[in-house]
Amino acid sequence: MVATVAAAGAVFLIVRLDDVRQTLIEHPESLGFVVAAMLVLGRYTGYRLTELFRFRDIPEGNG
Amino acid sequence: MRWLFSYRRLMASGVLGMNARNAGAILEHNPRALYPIVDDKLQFLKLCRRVGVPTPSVYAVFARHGQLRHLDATLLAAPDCVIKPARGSSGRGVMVLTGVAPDGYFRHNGSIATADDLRRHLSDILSGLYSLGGRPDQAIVQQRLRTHPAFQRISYRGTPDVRVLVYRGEPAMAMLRLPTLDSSGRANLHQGGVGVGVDLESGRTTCAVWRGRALRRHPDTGEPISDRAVPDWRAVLAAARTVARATGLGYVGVDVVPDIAGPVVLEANARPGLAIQSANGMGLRKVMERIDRQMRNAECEMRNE
Repeated sequence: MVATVAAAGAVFLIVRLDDVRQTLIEHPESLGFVVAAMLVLGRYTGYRLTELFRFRDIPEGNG
Repeated sequence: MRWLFSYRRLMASGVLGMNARNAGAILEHNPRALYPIVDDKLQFLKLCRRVGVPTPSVYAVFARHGQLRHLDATLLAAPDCVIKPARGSSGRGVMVLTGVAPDGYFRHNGSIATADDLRRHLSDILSGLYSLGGRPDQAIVQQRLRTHPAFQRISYRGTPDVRVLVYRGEPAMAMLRLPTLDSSGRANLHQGGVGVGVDLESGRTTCAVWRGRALRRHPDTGEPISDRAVPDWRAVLAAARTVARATGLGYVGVDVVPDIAGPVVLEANARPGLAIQSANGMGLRKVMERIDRQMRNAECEMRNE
């Protein structure tokens, strides 16, 4: 929940920038890059940053 | 800050991440249509009975608010019981009663719940306060299992259970879950329980994890946790295997309580967490790959015959 609000806040601050607004309005097709980035992100099956922290006590070479 | 650069190390130890679990294990091996069998405890209990695996006896099921007027009669007949939502998750909404008190019922932590408190709690359960997705639910009044003497000194006011992770019908990893003062009698790790790795071959405990960190002694009793034998280990694994195969799920966590009379299956989970890796100090991926190989070899042999 807190993370979601923080992420929304960060995106708000970025989208509010004049340069970003101008680019998005003049080149609406650039939204395609955002969609593409989302799709790539959704296919990611590696570790999350939080997991590097979470599993820090697991010794190497086991398993 | 060394953890920031541990990506390769985690890969080398075969740790399964959340994304890999969702995309590889759950999506591939757990068909959506089978979820209700484990998400609804009443359906799951029926399944266990069908395959002959012991479960705690059910004293009563409440489905409608109107039925709550019989609650007192039910509890007076069986005041040593557990009240839980049929479709709850991670131990939420579970209330443990141990006996009749002068003005209500004793809870496992020694406090007293009045008949009104309990009616309100069941009413909350029926309204779906603790159910998955907040949908209306049913409340189950169930037999309370006792702590096995083997775990008496390493659990705090609650019943420890063994979570067996079964991958494609074969036990892949197991952990003993111990209740603590923090977890208020529940053994779920999210609630503050201790997870203790159990060696699949010997059934003896290895290392432990609590609140994300490695641990050597029980936080409340101070007793060392490692190298203890889980009673009836073979039977625990057999029960988990039977139940997992009956559900049809290929990546499922089965919770088994080693009762004095033998293992009793509590519930199963179609989205078992990853903390079992921390408790065992090893990754899941290599175990799963080994089981995959065994399956492939077995298939080849069948074709050759």
